[in-house]
Amino acid sequence: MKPVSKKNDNQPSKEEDTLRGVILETDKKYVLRTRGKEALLRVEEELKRQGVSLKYDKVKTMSFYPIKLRLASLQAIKKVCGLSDEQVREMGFEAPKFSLIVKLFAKYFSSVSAVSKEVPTMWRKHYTVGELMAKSVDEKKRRAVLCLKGMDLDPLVCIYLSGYFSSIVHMVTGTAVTVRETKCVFRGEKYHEYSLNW
Amino acid sequence: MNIESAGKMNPEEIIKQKDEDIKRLNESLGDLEFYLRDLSALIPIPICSLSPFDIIVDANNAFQKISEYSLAETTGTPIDVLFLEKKELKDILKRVVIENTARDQEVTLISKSGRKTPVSLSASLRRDQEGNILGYFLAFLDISERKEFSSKLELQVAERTKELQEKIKELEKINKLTVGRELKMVDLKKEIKGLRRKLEMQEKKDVAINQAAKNIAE
Repeated sequence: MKPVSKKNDNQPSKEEDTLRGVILETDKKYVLRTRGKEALLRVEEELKRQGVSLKYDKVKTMSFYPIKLRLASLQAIKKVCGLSDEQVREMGFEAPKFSLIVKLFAKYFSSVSAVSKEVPTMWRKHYTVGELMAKSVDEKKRRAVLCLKGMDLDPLVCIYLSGYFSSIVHMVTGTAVTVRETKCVFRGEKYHEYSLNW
Repeated sequence: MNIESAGKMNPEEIIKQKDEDIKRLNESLGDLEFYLRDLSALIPIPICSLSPFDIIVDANNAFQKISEYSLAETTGTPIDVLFLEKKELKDILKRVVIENTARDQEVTLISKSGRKTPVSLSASLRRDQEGNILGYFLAFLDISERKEFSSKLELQVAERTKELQEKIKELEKINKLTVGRELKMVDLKKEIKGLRRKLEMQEKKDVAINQAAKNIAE
């Protein structure tokens, strides 16, 4: 699969929202680590049944792919691996640990405040859709609130992202992090809001 | 795309050219990542990188093997959790901030199963082009074999030393006996010498007495 080939389904059009291949790469690593190679092949078959042609081994981490693959990949993995919502959150928690882009941001991992300033850039390096920002950070009370606008794929992605965001904070603080989605577009609110405590 | 050629292009062409440049850069970055990943996987020395806050952000395969923790488990973990000498490790990292590097520092790595491995730790500070601290690179050499060899050698040396000490004791005993005998011989020689002198004097005396008796008789 070549992300730039005009013949390929996964080549995003100019107007289409996209995500970086690194996200799909972390999906692959989760499946391989927890369920093995066979499961990954079954995920690819499941995607094919959904009409999505995706070969995880061919994904280039820094290339852009259509945003539809985010949800399709998650749904197929959830179905094939029989993941609970909590396991989807765990999958999101693992993802930044394998992301080259996140590692490049490690220089800001001196405090949650420092990372929070980079959150919008970090988001844009992964997605061309949506906007993520830190609404508030209180280092003393060990609390941060993140706000995600313009990203309304599916509640499954909300669960995945809650794990993802808590993992970033965990990588900064080295402590256990609890996360709660306090606002959600799928509950009729204008944007997603995540409250993180560590 | 250079400035001269850009000047002759229409905006659409410039955008197209920029898109191409971005695409090429992304591909290069992807290739670079593969290169680094392959290189890191090949290196048999355990290596990990830390955030400025001493938290593990990356580790190679060799590190995962020696620590028995997967990357998913170690990432986000404070580095001191994996070591026995927590204070020493903090001191080493503090020193690295001042001196930029640290070499051959002996610490003990505790694996997931609790196995303790003595390692020689080398660390270097990571800075960006502006000099801001990005974190650290840590490399570990498993010195358990070296340590084992060294302790075996120490044991052998101790055994040999014990043997030598026993030999020395025996020699001292022999020496003592020899010296005692020699001293006795010296004493005997002295005694003989004294007796000989006495005998000579007696002989001289006897000769004188005989001579005197002879003179009287005459």
